Amino acid sequence: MAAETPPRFTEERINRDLLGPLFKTSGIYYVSAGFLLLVSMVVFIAWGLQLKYGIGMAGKNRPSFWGLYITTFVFWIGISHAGTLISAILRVVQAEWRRPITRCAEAITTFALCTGSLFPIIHLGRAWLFYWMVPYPNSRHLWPNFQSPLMWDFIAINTYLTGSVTYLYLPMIPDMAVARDKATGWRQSMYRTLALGWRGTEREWLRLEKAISIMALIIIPVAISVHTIVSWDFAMTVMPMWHSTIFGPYFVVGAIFSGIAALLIAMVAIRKYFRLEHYLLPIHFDNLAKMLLTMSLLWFYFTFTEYLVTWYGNESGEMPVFWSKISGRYAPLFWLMVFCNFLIPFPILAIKRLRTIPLIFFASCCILVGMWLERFLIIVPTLVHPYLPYNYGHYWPSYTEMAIASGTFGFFVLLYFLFAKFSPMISIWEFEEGLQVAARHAGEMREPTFVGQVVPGDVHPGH
Amino acid sequence: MAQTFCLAKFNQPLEARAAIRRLLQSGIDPQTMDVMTSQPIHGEPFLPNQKPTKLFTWALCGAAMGFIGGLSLATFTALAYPLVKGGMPIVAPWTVGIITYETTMLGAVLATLAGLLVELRLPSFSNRPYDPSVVDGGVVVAVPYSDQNRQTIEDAVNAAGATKVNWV
Repeated sequence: MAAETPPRFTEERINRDLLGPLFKTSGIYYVSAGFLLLVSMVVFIAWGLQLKYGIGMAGKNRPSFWGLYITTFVFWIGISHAGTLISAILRVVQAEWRRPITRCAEAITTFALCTGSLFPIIHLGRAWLFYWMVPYPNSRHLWPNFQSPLMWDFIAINTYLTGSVTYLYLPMIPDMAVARDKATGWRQSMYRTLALGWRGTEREWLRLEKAISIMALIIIPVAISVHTIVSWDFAMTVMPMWHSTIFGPYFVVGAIFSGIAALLIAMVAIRKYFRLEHYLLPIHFDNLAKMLLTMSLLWFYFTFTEYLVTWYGNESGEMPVFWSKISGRYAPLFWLMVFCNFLIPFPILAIKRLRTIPLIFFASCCILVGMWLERFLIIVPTLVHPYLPYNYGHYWPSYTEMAIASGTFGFFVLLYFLFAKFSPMISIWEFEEGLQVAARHAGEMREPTFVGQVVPGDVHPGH
Repeated sequence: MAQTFCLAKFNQPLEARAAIRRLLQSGIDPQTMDVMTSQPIHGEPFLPNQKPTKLFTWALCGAAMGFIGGLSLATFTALAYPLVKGGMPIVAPWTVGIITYETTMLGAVLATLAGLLVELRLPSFSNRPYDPSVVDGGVVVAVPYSDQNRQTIEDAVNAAGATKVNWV
């Protein structure tokens, strides 16, 4: 079979391909968005009922005061580690292949954080008292307790959200300017505002790239600290199988693991839906799949260590929790988690012949299921088996919990869908810059030239 | 009277550099010129004597302010309501450290953003010289002109191979 001739990238072609989805909307898009809106409404309707009738609708009771809400909260905060870490780390190490995936990744971070941040408010019950967490002088004689991990969560997640939104927006500015120059009507006004008057002068590029580099250096330690702090919601308590020093790195590894899986799923969807096969190449999926394999091995290592140490310690308070997961009530979920996180993905990701886009997509879906189960299995078995056996209990999610937790998946996808309609999902200027860099590395010229003029069609950023 | 500009478009950076050399030789002040591209062009800068950016300083200052703010917030609020919690000291270094770390990073983020907007003088919606066709490739050189030097500028950009010249 003759090899397909790679496309000749010109600025006009790149602008047309990547801006096309912003200005043309298919019927499928409207139907999909409508469906996602309906699913998202489930969250707010269920939440509205909970606000009206009280937190009892969530069905939680002694001893399990945390359930699906916190599980899904930790899950979404974990997903948010995809974008920033992948985008920032690859930018810092100057991995050229990152260019077509950074925007997808950064958007996942921002919207996963927005989705996950709903849960502390939902879980509060009396959500209208949320502002009590803000430290401002008040007549209630109350201050937030800064020694509480929940307050660290509040500060850390807000910091990460601010940083992620900034890190998403800064590289978008030049693309907003391109959209401004191509759009008409109300879209042009919108993009003119978002472009901030960007002209692409030498001075502007120098400062923008510097700002993005600084942001990348800042956001990496913030991302690591956020999920470490989320893990301390559990590790700082003295509960069986929670009070463990390994929780910080365990959660960070799990977050990156689930984040990369989510990114791969998003990339498959974007590649297919927006017909970006010439931009999101198999090499991008292959590279990310190798990172996913690494994280799968790391996750397995941490999980094995955690359970081995617990088993070997044979501590009386922890063994009921341990056995409930290995062979008891939660064993089916536990072993399903191991299957989804390691036994299925490992061969797919490790064997080159199996590392195809469809199988990578399948492995990523399994990982997301597995990682949600992991959060559930960290939280619920411990809560229903506290140290004092008289207090053992059961947990089963209520319909309200299930509706809200599952509806957030639709909400997240809806936010992503809407974003894809409003910003190019591949950074136009970074892609063009990558072609320039690739051509220079290919030794074609000493002076950079413009794409499509001299650059041959087989030069692509990331090869 | 509003400044008038010549916007000369070139297909290649080499051509733009040749035009800039001619313009500089004819006495045009590089600080008044602008070079616009659809992507950052690596290598030697188009215009000489560019002011360096101070964004790193902005980030450090923001981090310092965030550090002081977070430390003060966590410390003085604990001292204002001296309740013993969990057997920890009233001002526990570890917990104060966590809050201080996050506010330090937040300060750095916000200061970087502010510094970028200040240095670039954005947002700016006034009519500054700009050619929208630059997004489809090429290099646009913006040069201020007057009746005295219009011909000199025109000769310089045409000799360097300008594909389009607008006088705005």
